Amino acid sequence: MTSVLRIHGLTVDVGGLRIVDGLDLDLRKGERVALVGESGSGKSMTARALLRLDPSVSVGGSVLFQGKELIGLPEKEVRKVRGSQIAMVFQDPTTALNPLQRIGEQVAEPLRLRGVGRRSAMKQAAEMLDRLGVPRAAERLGAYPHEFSGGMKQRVMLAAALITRPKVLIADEPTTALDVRVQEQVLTLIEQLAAEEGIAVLLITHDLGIVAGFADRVAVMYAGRKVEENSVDAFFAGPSHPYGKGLLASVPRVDRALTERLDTVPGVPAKPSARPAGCAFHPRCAAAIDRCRTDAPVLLTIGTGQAACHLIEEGALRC
Amino acid sequence: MTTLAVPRFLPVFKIPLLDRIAYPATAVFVLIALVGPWIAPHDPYQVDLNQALLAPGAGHWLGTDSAGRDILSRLLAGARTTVLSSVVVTVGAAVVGIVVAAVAALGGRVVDEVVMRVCDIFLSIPGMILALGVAAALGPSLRSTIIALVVALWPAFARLVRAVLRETMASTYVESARTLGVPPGRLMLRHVLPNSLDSLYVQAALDVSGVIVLMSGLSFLGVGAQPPSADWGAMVADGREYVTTAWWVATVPGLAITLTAVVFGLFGDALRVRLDPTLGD
Amino acid sequence: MLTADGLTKRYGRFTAIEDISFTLHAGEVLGLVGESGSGKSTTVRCLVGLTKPDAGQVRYAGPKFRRGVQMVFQDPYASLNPRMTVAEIVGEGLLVHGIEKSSAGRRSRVGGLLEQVGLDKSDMDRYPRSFSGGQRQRIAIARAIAVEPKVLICDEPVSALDVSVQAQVVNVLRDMKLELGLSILFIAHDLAVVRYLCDRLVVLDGGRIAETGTREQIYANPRAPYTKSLLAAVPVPDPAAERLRRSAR
Repeated sequence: MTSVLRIHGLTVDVGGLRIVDGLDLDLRKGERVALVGESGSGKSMTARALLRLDPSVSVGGSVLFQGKELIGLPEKEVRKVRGSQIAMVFQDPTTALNPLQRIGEQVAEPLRLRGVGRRSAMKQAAEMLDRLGVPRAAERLGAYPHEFSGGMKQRVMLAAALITRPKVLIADEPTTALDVRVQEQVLTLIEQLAAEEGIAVLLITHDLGIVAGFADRVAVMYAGRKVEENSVDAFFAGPSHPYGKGLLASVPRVDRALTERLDTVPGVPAKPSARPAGCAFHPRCAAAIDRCRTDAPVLLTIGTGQAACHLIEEGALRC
Repeated sequence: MTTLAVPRFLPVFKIPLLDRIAYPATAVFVLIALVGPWIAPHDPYQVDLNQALLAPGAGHWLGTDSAGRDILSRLLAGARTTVLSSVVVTVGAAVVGIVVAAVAALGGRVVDEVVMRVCDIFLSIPGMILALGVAAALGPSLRSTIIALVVALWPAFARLVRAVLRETMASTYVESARTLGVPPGRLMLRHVLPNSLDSLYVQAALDVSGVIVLMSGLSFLGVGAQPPSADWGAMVADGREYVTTAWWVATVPGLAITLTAVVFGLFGDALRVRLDPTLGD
Repeated sequence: MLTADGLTKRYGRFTAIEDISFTLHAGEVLGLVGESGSGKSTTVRCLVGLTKPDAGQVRYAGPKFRRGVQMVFQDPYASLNPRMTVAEIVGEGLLVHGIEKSSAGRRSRVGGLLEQVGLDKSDMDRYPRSFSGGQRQRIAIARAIAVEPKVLICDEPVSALDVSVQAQVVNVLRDMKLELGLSILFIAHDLAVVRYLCDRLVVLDGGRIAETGTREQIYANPRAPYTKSLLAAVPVPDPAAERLRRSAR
């Protein structure tokens, strides 16, 4: 399978701080990849950097979209790709929609910007909203965002993102603000549409529960670096990296017997402003050895995936 | 943060430049106000009609007025009255405003409503007219001017502070202090006020520049500091007869008023940029 | 310990909660669960007196409600006064309730409290801004337990935290319950967290109680259709189970 989006050595610097440090990630046609991390991991900055949403942020490395380099492209060229070829939906549908503009206009806007006639754009907007399960979509094109619930707003956001038939959808915590039942509906819709249209989806999230049900592959970020990547089945069967293990173990789950205490990862997520030397995870890692404190580990291939951990290399960690 | 409808004083200045100019300039002006009378080259009150209306030159750098008094010396002497009393007015109005707003915020809906309607009544009268009326009623003097301006200016502060206090009162840390059982007085002093006053400092600094102009205006109209005291507004008033023949008599103190107002305006802006994270970097 | 009796609150024509009644018993953890708009927040605000209910009342079986019922808020970035040090924040309850009048005595108590919630004594002179979300939530817990309350009301205390930190804070709450014999009302939308911590549950739907029951009963055998659908939607970090669940609908 060919890559739609090939990220290589991506760096993101904000105000002199390295937020993302050399990220590699491949997104193949129709594939759903989850980028998992906690606060300060750089996962959201990665998403924003791919679309070059923040002009003040300096982005380095390489991002190939269908073989075309996006880094270093003039803003005008990026704009052609953004929205039409690579679309994005955000966490909070309330602030991402313009409260003073009718739903229909907002969904149709990406098409209108590309010269599609008003009538045709509106018709397509209604179709897209209908596919996303907005009831009586054609009648509600004239409604305003406040007339919609959170879940419905997120469907509107999705419709606006998907109306140009992009090749890639970047979804940054798209369901975090939603209730679980609505969350499930929205994820199912993304999954269906992506499958029908062959859209590759990059899901940015902190929630391992939704990753298991949604993604084909998962990459875990910690303090700006990818520490692990694998197929979901392999990852959830047993993460390779101590951080992945700890993260998965600390998720309370309804499908397991109750234990006395929840497993935890001690300490707090590393901040980009105070990135520990060596492996950034070592202060929280129970198994850390001397090498972890000085040398940054590189990604090693393990089975179907990769992980960056000295302990694995030394054979000190059971995978 | 709070939303204040205060226009930026000089939007063209970049932040570091604003800092570099505003703070030293304000310091210099305050210093002049404090030591002005002692560094004056001549006696500001020495009348010498032989020396009347001399143009700026070697002996009198900024010229002399109609009574032959040295204008530079009078400016320096007047700086104390003008700058310090403007600061006094602003601080006075701010303190009254804070107290009134705090009472309104803690007092419940009825108290709040009454206080705010009183503010509305004051605010419906133009500040200059109100101040003029109060100052005239109290008899012309510097003290009356100060009282008059405090009376005219406190409602604007009360309104501003009340808006900010209401916002702070609704914040989670104030609610959590309430659920902890913190009594109202301490709630206001320890939790609400310290987190509300940033925008007030800015407003106050910006207001000093307005107050300088207002005070000078009152003196100019004759209800402020009385002759022969060296007040900038009164100096402008003195010079107005000679604007065509001896321009410096009115122009020099006029420029001093403008410059001081600008400096305090810049100071307010610099302060705002520093205190308001949404305007900073 | 704490009883809600027929609490009702309307905002204009909108009824936020209607006839909410339940009792938090001594030493138990009661979960109050529901989706957004279910009335959880309004119920909590009525319980702690931040909002006055239109009907119904709150009964507390003990003296000094303000001291006996403490609260931990959802957003630890908003719930700590940014201009007070940790020592002042945690010690304030001791001061205003006259529990420890001397400043040195308060400091030593605060040190003990910080250690109790897993922080360091030396943290007490720092300001909230230098702490992460999880650490701030520990500070908020220390502040609440400082006045030796009987009841602790936790409003979504872990939902704003990172996953790896959530578990730490849940464990702290569990320890506090065991060590201090606290009765805890735990408000949450995450049924997996609630299951871990709560002995009994009250399920809210649209401002009304949909179901009340013990943990065992509700998770094994939910009666209300609403509870069933909530439980069915809880994601599980297990791809095979997720696939099975999705194909089932």
